[in-house]
Amino acid sequence: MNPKPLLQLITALFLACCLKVSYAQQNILEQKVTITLQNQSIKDALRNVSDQAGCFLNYANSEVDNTRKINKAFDAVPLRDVIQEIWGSNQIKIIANGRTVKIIPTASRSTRAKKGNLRGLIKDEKGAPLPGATILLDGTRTGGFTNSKGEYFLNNIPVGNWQVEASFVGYQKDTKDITIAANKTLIVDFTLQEGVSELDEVLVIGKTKAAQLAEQAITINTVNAQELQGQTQDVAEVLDRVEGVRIRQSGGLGSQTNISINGLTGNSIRFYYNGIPSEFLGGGFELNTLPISNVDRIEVYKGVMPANIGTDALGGGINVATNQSSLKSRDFSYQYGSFNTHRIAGSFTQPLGDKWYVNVNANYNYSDNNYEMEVENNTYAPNLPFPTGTEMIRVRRFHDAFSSFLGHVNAGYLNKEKRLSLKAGVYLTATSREVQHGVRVNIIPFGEMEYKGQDTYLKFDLSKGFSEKWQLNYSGIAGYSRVMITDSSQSVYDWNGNNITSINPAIFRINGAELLGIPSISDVYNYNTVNRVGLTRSFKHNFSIGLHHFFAYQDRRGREELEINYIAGEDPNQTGFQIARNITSLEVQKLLFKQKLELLATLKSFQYTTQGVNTLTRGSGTRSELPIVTSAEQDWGYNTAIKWQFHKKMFLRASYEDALRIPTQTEIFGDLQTIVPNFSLQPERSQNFNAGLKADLSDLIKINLNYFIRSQRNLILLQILDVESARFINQNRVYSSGVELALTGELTKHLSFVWNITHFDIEIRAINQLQDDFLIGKPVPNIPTFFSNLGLTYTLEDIFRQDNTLQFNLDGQFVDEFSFIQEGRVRNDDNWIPTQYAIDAGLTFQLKEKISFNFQANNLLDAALFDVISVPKPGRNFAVKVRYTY
Amino acid sequence: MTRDFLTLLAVILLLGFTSCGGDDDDEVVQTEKQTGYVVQTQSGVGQDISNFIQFFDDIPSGSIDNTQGKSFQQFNVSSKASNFIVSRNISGGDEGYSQVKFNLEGEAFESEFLPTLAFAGFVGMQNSETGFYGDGSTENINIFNPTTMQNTGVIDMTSAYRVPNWTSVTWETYVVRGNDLFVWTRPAIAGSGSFYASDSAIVNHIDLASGTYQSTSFFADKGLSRRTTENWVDGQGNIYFSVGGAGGVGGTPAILKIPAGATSFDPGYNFDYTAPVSSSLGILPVLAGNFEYHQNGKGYTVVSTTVPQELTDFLNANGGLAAILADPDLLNQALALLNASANGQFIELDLVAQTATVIPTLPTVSASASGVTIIDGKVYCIATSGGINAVYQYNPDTGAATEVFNVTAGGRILGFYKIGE
Repeated sequence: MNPKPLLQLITALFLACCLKVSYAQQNILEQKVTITLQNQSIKDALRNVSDQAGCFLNYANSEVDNTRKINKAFDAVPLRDVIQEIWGSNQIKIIANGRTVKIIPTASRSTRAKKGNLRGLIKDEKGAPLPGATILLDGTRTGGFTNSKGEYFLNNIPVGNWQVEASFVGYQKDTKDITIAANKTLIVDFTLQEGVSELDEVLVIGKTKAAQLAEQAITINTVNAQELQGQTQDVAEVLDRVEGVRIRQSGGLGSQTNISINGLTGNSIRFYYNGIPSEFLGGGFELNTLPISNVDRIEVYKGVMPANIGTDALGGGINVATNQSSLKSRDFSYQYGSFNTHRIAGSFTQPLGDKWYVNVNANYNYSDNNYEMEVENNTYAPNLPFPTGTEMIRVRRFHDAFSSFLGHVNAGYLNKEKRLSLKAGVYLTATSREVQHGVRVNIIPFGEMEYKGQDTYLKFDLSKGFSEKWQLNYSGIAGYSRVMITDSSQSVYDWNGNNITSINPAIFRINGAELLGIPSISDVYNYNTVNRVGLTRSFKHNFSIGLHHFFAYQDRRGREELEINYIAGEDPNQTGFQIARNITSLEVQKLLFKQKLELLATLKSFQYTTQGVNTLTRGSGTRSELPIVTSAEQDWGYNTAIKWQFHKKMFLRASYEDALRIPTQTEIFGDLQTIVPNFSLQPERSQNFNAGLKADLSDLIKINLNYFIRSQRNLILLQILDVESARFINQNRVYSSGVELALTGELTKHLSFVWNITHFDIEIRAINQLQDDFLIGKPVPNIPTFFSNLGLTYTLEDIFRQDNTLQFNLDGQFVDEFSFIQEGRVRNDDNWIPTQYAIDAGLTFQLKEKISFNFQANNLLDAALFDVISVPKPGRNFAVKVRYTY
Repeated sequence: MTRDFLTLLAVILLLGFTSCGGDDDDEVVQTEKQTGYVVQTQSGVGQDISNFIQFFDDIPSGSIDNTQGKSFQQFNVSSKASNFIVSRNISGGDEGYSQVKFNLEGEAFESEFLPTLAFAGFVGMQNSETGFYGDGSTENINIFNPTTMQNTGVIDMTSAYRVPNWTSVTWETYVVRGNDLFVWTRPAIAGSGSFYASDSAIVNHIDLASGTYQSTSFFADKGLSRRTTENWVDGQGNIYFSVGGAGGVGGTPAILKIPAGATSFDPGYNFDYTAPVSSSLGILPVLAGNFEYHQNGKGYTVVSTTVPQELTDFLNANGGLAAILADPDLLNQALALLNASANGQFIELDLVAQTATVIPTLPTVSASASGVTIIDGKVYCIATSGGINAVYQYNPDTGAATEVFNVTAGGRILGFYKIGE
């Protein structure tokens, strides 16, 4: 049965149900209320409102601040807004079920003890409210934004004297001294004078950094990882549930990952770790080795990337931002799971005085990865020097253990008066990986090949504001990634883990290597430095200009310990391969019509130079005769984006980009093993158009709809030259278009959901070889184009005692089948990665927001799951996790 | 009653004889095609290469959409016998050889599999019962039964010649003449990549009657013979080896000869067939397609003969030949242009008179992307460049060439085979 129609039907029904729920709940809450309240207590005011609206208000008396009196007239104001106004806080959830309206405070009672609230209005000199203005409580880095009426609400502020600061782009700051009393709400209004101001980084109440990013003009999906930190997932698993994103893994923990965003894969997608491209950080920074516990948020950029992060990504990128707050925090977790998997993560932040702080993040992973799989295995007979046949057997992988350590230590200085932030730190990683097979699962497994990696980097960040107009940012790293590969075994293994050579010496690997064509014990260093500097200037009337420069330099050099591989003095590893990149961006931003319209445009210059040994023409003379080849390229790119906030809860956005990706080190220089160099390789280019709608259909249902068109040319693909060698070449022109839809919301008080679906077409529009004419109009193979995710979370609060929560999550994933290569009329099942359904389930019990326990069952159906042809992923597996935070 | 009984008995006997008749005949129900023609095309790059395999009961004609066939990521035809083809593992991966048959609908399928320890490269066949294959994990040559795909023995090659500092060896191009097996050595020195690590052609002689290695013969300044073929031996027992002409694996094309009755090269036979037809290339490398012996001392191949216009333009734009030769990067680009250009022609070789004649009735093609095959005693030329993707039949008697079929979809024609010869 073709699953597509069924899935489409389920999708449509699900969507209809969601919309129906949304519609039903809108009716009563959107009902207009006209009432005048004079010196009434909150309880009386709510009763009068409910009488007029004809509804039943359901709330806990103990949650009501009865000391406050209401004096306000409402004229045709929606019931939801009236309730919120009377309650005096936006930290409530208002849920309607028929004529019954329930008011649920989102802040716990305990946290409100000995605290008070602050609210008010921020307006300009003419009295017009300023939506989106910032309010900041000095010394706490706590604040918020004004709503569309210019109102702000800051709740649960510890009692005492404070200085509160209001600011808005294009206006001068205003600061007032206030006193917060217990269980009181203080009203403080601000009138800002037109001038120049600059926003500081704030911790926003009500809107997380992730939520802010999701509302930019460029298309961004953000995952607020803080909500998931109690669970056992890693970053790769979380990302795999984002619309338009597929993270394909070639095995278990620590296996290679391939990011696919709307059909773009491989090097076309950049992965950034705290803004630094991972290709400069080495193998210790893999998506599937980063535990979610250490992550603050994950940003998924589709198409245009902001100039302060983007480099030369072709169609988007992923930035993983770790917890780097200067606020005091502790977070430790330990996870144990199937296949002897251990994952330990911790983060620690300690303020030192009022300006200094130190931050430590670390995680350690280990897994045997010895999951079971069906495999074709050679059979042997005693004393016969060849295999006698094959058999299909179910085995456990036996040479696939993986371990990794990643730690970073930062010391920071934050001086708000001087608008100065400094951060200096060090990144350290160590990785060890046994290799069980190559790209495919071979009949002969590998039993000895190993990979080890080490990364050491110093990192420095600077942020400095000059006057009210200028802002300077710098971020840089310098260090090295070391890769040690040992592939020098002559032993032949079978899939039962037996060393056949030790039993029958007549059977051995004559070439002395398992993966590589020749034996190799290599030790290669990549010396990298990445530097990013940005200068922004703010002008009146919501206009700003930013100039950003990215400079990266890589020098790969090392040595091959098996001297037989090269004539003495001719090891090209020792001569080194260098690539330098300069990317300069000029970005302008303008807000119009009371910030309802946002315009963004960027012009980029790409320049790179390379130098390395052309191993194709290597002679037999001395090292000085090694053919050194240099090249230099320069090109331009640009992008523009627009966002229109046409309703306070809805906006449209669109972006266009002419993007470019500079070839990587390996693509140009080869790998000194099977990939030969190509110094003529040209950058890949892509023209991307994205358009989207983001809307809150109700308080409970949110929708994110995106459409994209992409035209790529000069695609860099690996060309097989012969049985031993391959090289990267510029190839086909590809066109793709598709749509992705995401719905999030709450079905009941306890049950919330996340659902998304992605479908796109990606086809070849032009080819380089005449004989491949027939491919024009055909889909690009080996790319999943139809997939969907559904996540349900059921939460129970106050279990056993107050502030304990119990959360049950169920996640389902569907990926439609796709062919590894172009298929003919006659289907060859060997070419297909089958349709996959995966279901994961988890249970998290949280004790007073400090200790949490999680139990997770992955692949409940024990389905055969594949991201890469012939390489199965783990079957049903389990994990438990305990996390302590304060 | 009696009549009824007799009638019943007669019916029973009739049915009994009728049913027994089938058993006595022992009729064999065929489940695979026994004879037919196979067209292989290839498209794509990188990991996404598709090999389209389509079966035809008769020699195809007109325009063919080869995507009507079945696709495989890997399909390296090494040899054929009876009603099957032997290829390197068609399920992907390096190890093992697949025996490929065609069901009654003409769909290719793996009927048997012969495992190896490591890299599987080439096989040779004496007949449908005896064949030879290399295994990347042994320096010996294995013997197998191509029909059952079972290993049946080993030829000990440990005493065969090795180039100095060798790290591995691949056995390529098996040629059988009676009880003589000739196998080419492709040596590798670590770090040499795909380049041929010897300055001599190296061929080994094995006596099949005893199953033992006998000797190694060399021909100086010649490269590798790396062509899978079954038509190198003439009616008298002379073996004509085609060497060189392929990028990276060795030198100027030539024909070498092991005379009938001999087991080593004829040192006086060095047929440089490119000299009369490729002189305009100057110092540029000469590429050659595969060589097939036909009959009456004649054979056919395809060789680059002229400097392509696109290369001339490239030379002019980059400071001339001297500048190109001084810059490895430019030289690579020039060689790539030369490789892809339609600057070659099919030629007829008189192996006795050692003369080469361009066949003017066949199209100009890229020598590296075209070839020759002999089917049913007829000469077929595969031409796949310059906008042409077709198979021609050449008639040596009349000199006429006619297009047999062309392929419009499925990529470049990589092979045209007959099974069940």
